[in-house]
Amino acid sequence: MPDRPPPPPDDLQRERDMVARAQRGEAEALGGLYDLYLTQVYRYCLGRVRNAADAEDLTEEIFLKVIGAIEGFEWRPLGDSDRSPFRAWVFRIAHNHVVSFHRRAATRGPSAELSESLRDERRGPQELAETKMAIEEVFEAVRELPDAQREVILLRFASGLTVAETAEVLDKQPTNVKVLQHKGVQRLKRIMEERAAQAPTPIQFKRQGPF
Amino acid sequence: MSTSPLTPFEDLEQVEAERFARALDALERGGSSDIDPREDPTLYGLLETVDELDTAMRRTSPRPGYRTRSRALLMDAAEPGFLRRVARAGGRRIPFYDRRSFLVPFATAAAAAGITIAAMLGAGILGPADDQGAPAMASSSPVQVAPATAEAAAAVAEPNLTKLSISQDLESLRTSLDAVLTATGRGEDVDPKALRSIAESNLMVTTLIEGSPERLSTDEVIVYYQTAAETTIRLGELAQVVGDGPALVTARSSSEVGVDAAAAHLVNVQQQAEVRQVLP
Repeated sequence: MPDRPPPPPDDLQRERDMVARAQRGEAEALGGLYDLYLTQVYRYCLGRVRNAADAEDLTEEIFLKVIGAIEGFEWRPLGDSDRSPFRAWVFRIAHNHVVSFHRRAATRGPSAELSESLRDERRGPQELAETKMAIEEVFEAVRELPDAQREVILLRFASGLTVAETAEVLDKQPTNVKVLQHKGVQRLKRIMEERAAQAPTPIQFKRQGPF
Repeated sequence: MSTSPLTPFEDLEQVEAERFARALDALERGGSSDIDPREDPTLYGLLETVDELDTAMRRTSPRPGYRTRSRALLMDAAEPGFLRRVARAGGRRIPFYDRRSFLVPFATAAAAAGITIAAMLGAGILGPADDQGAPAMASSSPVQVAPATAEAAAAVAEPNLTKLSISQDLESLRTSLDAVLTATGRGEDVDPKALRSIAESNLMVTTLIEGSPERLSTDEVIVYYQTAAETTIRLGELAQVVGDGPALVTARSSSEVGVDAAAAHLVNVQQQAEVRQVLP
């Protein structure tokens, strides 16, 4: 399930305080916001470009934009009190930045090195290789989705945004986001099933005696 | 957004989307979706797909080296005055050389501390100095740290905690520096990846030195100090030849910061050792 449920109100208040301190130029608060959102922004970028090096650069550029614009950010509730307008604002910047990246780099081909992004959870080489393949397949499948569905899927499941926050980022109605989410997951399921069906069946040797 | 009335098909689609969203919402809040795979295999299958997607996402994270480097650069960019400059630049990436003023105090302190450390190494307090009395690069002239002396100092200063090793970062630093120097020697372009790797290794070690100094081996910090000092010198020489590109400046600045952190740490270790010696 997505990374984080909507933050409880006290978390939201802490985040609001952190944003206010960051707006006053407190480096510690900026660092806190960076720590809070780095992984979410990075996963979103990786889902859009897949190439780990590009995702890293994009993430850094997005945070530079956030730092540059944070003074002008206004904390306006998204309707529900337990949703983070700041998170929606960060991802609106991320969304716009990735869109402009694709415009700029329309001619550049992918050079994926997803493996660098895998969490080393003390897995063995074989397990790491299998995990890498499984993750790459999922990312590949996400990349095959139509733009609108992919955006919703990434914001919801890579970055852990709520439906309301996703709607805010994409300037859509929550109902529309829910429909895109439903269609996106349906399509993703189909793509993954098709890929699984096309995958070569492992060759099984019949044992003819003790080796 | 469309304001036209929904067709029956769209209506049904919205109902299904709403059910799916509700089931997801229940799961996200840590509850149960109450979906029976036999009664509603379609919806159940979609939730399984989300689970697979979520698993893949959870296993994907930024590399620690990237995190450290990127955080340091952003904190640098957040210096007062930078906020406005970044804003004026429309959030464009600010070349690192524009931010160098922030690193000047570090570099100056590192230079001053370097003299102290070189003297300490020369006196055999922390380890041996190389022939010129300047720090030696571990990759080209492996340093033989006098373990008896260093360990004696460390034993006094370091409580019995699980040690962290920086050997991997040291190795990465040496390899990357070698790659840079080899390419330069052959008249080839320097790979920015190697320069980034130098910056990341330096910042990883610096973070450890500043965050968990008591868990580091003094010997390794000495070797790191020498390697980082040599890296600073070599990259400075390189900059004279090829000019200051952002990746090169970042790599060199991170080495300077590393030298400063290692020097401060070693001076501290030495001072603690001296205090212990004076105490009855």
